[in-house]
Amino acid sequence: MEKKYLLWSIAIVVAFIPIFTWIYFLIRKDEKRKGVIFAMFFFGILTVAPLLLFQYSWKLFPQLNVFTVIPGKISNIIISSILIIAILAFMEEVFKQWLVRFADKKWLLVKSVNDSIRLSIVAALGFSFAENVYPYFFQLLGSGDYKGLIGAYFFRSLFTAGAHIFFSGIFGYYYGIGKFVTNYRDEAKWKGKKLYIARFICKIFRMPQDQAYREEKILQGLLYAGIFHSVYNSFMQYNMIIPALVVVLIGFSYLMVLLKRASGQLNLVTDISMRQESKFQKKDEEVIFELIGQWMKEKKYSDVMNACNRLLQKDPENNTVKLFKTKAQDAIQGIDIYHEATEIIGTRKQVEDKSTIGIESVKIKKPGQNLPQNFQDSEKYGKFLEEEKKKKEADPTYKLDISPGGPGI
Amino acid sequence: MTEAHITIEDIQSADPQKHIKLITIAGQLDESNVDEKAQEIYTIINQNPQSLFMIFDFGKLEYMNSKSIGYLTDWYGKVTQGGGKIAIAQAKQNINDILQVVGLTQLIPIYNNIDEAKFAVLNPQ
Repeated sequence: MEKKYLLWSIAIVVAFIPIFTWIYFLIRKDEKRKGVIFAMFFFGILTVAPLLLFQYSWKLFPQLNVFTVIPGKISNIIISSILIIAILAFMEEVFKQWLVRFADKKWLLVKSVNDSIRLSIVAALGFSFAENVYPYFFQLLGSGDYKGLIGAYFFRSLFTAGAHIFFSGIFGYYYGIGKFVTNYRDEAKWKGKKLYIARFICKIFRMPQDQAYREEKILQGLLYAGIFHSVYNSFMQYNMIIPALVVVLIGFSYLMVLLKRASGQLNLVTDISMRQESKFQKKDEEVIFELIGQWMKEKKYSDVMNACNRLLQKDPENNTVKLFKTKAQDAIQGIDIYHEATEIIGTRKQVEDKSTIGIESVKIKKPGQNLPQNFQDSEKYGKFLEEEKKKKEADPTYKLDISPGGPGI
Repeated sequence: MTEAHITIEDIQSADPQKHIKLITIAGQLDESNVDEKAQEIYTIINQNPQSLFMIFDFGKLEYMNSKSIGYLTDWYGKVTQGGGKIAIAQAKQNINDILQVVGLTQLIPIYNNIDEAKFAVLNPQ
C-alpha cells in the first residue's frame, strides 16, 4: 500500500514539473490572476472524470462501448478505428470546452480573446497532467519500465501537452470571438461578410442574431479542435509520428501568433454604466464603419488606424472601433502566420499598406501650400469680399471675376 | 429612392486655361442614386482634364454614404493630377465630422461659405 502511495506521489510530481513549466512560459503575463489560473488547472484535471465515467459506463451499458459497437457496424478496420478515435477526441474537447464556458459564465473570467485562449490552455494542461499521472507515469513506474518512462515522459510532456494546448487553444480563440459577438459580428459585417451560417442558425432555431453568431463560433471552435485532435490521434495510432508532430508544431505556432496579436489582447468587456455617449448619429457612424471595413479589405491599414483614432476621440468607448484599429495594427506589423513563418526562414517581406489618404496628406503638407488658418481676417480676403459684394450688386447673376487685374489673386 | 440634385455652374475665368465649376449637391447621396450622380462629376473631369477647380457646395446635402466619399477621394486624385484643386463649402456638421474622421479634410479643405472657398481655390500655391 505504501509503495502505491509512493508511486502516486512520484507520478504526480514528475508530471507536474513540465506542466508547471508550460504554464509559466505561456501564462506568466497573467500573473495577477494566479487564483483563476490555479482554479482552471484544477477543474481541467476534473474533466478527466466524465471521460472515465463514460468508459466505466460501458460495463453497465455495453451498447455505449464504441470499441465494440462501431467495429460491429463498420467492417473496414481503418474507417472504424478512425471513427472511434474521432468520437473520443470530440468527447474530450466537448468536456474541456464545457469547463471553460461554465467557469466563464459563473465568474466572468474572459475579458479578451487572449484570456479565453489562455484559460482554455490552462484547462487543457490540467487534463494533460491528469492523463500523464494516470495511466501513463503511474503504470510505467509501477512496472519498472524506466526506459519506457523516460521516453513517455519527454514525449508526453512536450508534444502531447503541446497538442492539448493547440486543440484547446483553438477552441478558446473561437469561444472568445463568440463571447464578444457584438463587436466581432459588427467587424465582420462592415467587412462585407454575409454571415450565412449565423443567419441559418438564427432562422432555424429562431434565435437572436447575436446568439446565433455566438453559437456558430463555439461550434466552429469545437469542430476545429475535434478534427485536429482526431487527426493527431489517428497519426499516433498508426505510428505516423512525423506527421503528428508536424500537426502539433504548425498548430502550436499558429496559436502563438494568435496570442501575439494586439486585437486578441483588447479588453472588450464594457461597463455600461460608465459608457460615454457617442458624439455621432448612428447613421453617420455607419458611413464611417462602411469605409473602414472597405479599407481593411483594400489593405489601407494606416488609413484605417488614423480614422479609428479620430473616431475614438468622439466615441471613446466604441469597442468595434478599437477592434478595427488593433486589427489594422496587427496587419501593419505583419502579425500573421505567413509573415511570422517567412521571418523564421529569413525571407520576411514588407507588409503591403495601400493607404491613400495618409500618403496624400503627407505630400501636401509643405510650407506655403496651405492657406494660413485665419485667412478670413486677412486684408486680402477683406478686399476680395468687398469686390465680390460690388459685383453682385451690379449684376445679380455674377458669380466670380478672376480677370488678371481682379481681386489680388 | 432618395433624391439628390446636382447643379453645375460655370464660373467665368479670364485665364482660359483655368476651368472653375461650382457644384451644388442637394438632398441625400446613397446607394440608390450615388453611381448615377457621380457620373455627372466624372463627365466634367473628363471634359476638363487639366487645371480644373471644383467648389462643392454641400449646404443642402443632408447625407452622403461611404461610396460617395470614395468617389470624392477619387475626384480629388484625378483633379489634382491635372493641376487642379477641390474645395468644399458650407458642409453640414455631420458631413464635416464624417469627412474629418476619415481624414479627407487633410486633402480637401472645408470652408464656411462659398466666398471663402472661392478665395481659397484661387489662392496660388
